[in-house]
Amino acid sequence: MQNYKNKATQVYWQPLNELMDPKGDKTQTLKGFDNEFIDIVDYIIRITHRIWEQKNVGLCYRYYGDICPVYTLGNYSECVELVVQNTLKTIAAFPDRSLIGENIIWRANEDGSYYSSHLITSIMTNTGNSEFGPATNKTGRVTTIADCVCDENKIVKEWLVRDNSFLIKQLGIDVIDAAIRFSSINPHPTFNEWIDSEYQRVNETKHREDKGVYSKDWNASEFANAWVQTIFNQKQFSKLHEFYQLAATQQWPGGRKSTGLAQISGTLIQWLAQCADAKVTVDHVATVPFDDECVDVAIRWSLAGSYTAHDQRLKELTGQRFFVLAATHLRIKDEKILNEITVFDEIALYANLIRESGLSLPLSTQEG
Amino acid sequence: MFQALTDLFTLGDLDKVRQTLLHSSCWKQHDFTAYGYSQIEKQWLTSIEQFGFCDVVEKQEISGEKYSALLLKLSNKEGKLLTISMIFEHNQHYIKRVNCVVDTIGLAAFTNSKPEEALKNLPTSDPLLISQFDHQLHPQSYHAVPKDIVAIPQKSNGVLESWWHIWQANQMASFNEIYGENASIVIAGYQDKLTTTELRNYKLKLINRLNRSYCQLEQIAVDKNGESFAISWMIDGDYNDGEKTLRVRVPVQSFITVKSNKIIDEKLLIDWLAIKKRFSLNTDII
Repeated sequence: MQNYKNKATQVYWQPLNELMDPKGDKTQTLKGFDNEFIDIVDYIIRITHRIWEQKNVGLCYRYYGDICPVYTLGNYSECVELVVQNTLKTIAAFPDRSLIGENIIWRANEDGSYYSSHLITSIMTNTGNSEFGPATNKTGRVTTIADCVCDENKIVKEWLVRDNSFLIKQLGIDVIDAAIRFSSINPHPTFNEWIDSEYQRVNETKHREDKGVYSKDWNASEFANAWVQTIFNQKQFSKLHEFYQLAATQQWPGGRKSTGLAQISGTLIQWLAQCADAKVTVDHVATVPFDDECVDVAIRWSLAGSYTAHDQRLKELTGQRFFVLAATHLRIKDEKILNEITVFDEIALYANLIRESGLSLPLSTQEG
Repeated sequence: MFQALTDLFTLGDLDKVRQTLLHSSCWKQHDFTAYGYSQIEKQWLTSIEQFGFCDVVEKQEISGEKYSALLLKLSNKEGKLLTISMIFEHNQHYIKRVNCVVDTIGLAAFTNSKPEEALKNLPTSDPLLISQFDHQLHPQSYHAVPKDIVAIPQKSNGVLESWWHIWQANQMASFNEIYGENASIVIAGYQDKLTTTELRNYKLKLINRLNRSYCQLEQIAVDKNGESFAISWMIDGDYNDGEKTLRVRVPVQSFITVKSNKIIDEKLLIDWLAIKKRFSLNTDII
């Protein structure tokens, strides 16, 4: 395995007070960034804390580019003004939202910018109405992965994925009801263009090409591509042992928790069966060391295919195009996955199917 | 860390245990995972209110490099006993994750309440979506055994592998081979110590209540002495709950002590009421 040692901040075992007041020397160039930041991890951790936990929403103007495309499976926003507005709306609906930074996997780009993949656990109480429905006054937990390109002290591009179906279940809202409500929101015009082009791009991937891990020196990019090609594109589930430890853990959206190859295999087969012709592309890979034994890998990926409904309420959507924007964080030991956390927004996924169908699906409960 | 976790339940010393936790630590109990100080403290205070301030009558510490474990047998003023166990990930300075199992059948007796009342006081569990999978041990499929999780000292490895073979492959005959003649057995829900024969009957009964069952190891804490182990694992299976059949997951913690190639002490912890609540069961699995 390649030596990925570096000196950037490691989040996993750091107490918050040390993360908020780093004492170490600067470990990265950070050209154009405020001098207070010692590395890209420090930058992401502290600006997230300031904007979300200290509720200093206006700091988005300082830390986001005026033009900052933000891609989610539910919508698209292009400028910092929308980032500010959306942040404010979320804080209003979930006023005690806390963002716990679990991990940051990053990459330094040749042009001096940085790519950061931030794994976040949020705890929040739904005291205000949201796009999913009326306030429930229930507290929920949600996993988010925010992939950002950071350049000269500003986030200039972002891909944001959130496990909304897991959150919705804790709030006591029916997942399909939430998708129906969400589908009534008209997305930004650029969103449809982006989905169209992404769907076409991913569908053109050569899914039958063999991509194993052949290099003498293991590397994350080759591993990520082999994982996607073998498991997702070629559906060779008997090869899971080539990619996962025998007691690997896997967290997938909506509360799919698996340990070991049998359960992981079940999760992947059951989920992929709703899009049996799925094709997947690896869109970005970043790697950092975790400790002497493990490396952490962040993969952003996309999936395209056609939908086969397993839920009777969605049966009329069978055959619709199915597109997923997803992010995965892997902890890898001895060249195999020890822990996997995969995040995408199932609510937006179903909402897109509903909206594109033009159908008006009934809610399971009468609206009050 | 052991003392901080103990003092939490005996003294309500929140400060001491808080110092061992990170902002990103989590505490799983009753199949609900609390994140952040606010949720975790709520979990602690609810437990302290339920348990009362107890005395420790028995304590087992398993001190491992990355995972350690603590089992406490607590006694209240009436002399009733309650067993709780914790397997936790740490770096010697901070605890990252705690997986705590409370013997909630014992808790009902401990608090002089009916199981139905104790169940109501448990938190709503995390959403869980169990995907159907092939549970069979096919000749060329891969299923974890203890040495796949962590390095097991040679002196204990054979016994531990045989112990797991009992659960994973239902090799009942191994009960005769790997348990000491006077092995001390404790099972969640039973106040008294049991015999190996009673454990064998319990295992048979449990596994026969679940169709298409599958056992999966999660984590193992190995004590420095190489003779004591805390193992978190789970059983998935189809349970016939009256008129409906449900796929259920039963999380288990086993504390095992091996001496001279025999298990001399075993404690099996399962939070049965949390399972009943999570899957909205009308009947008891066992």
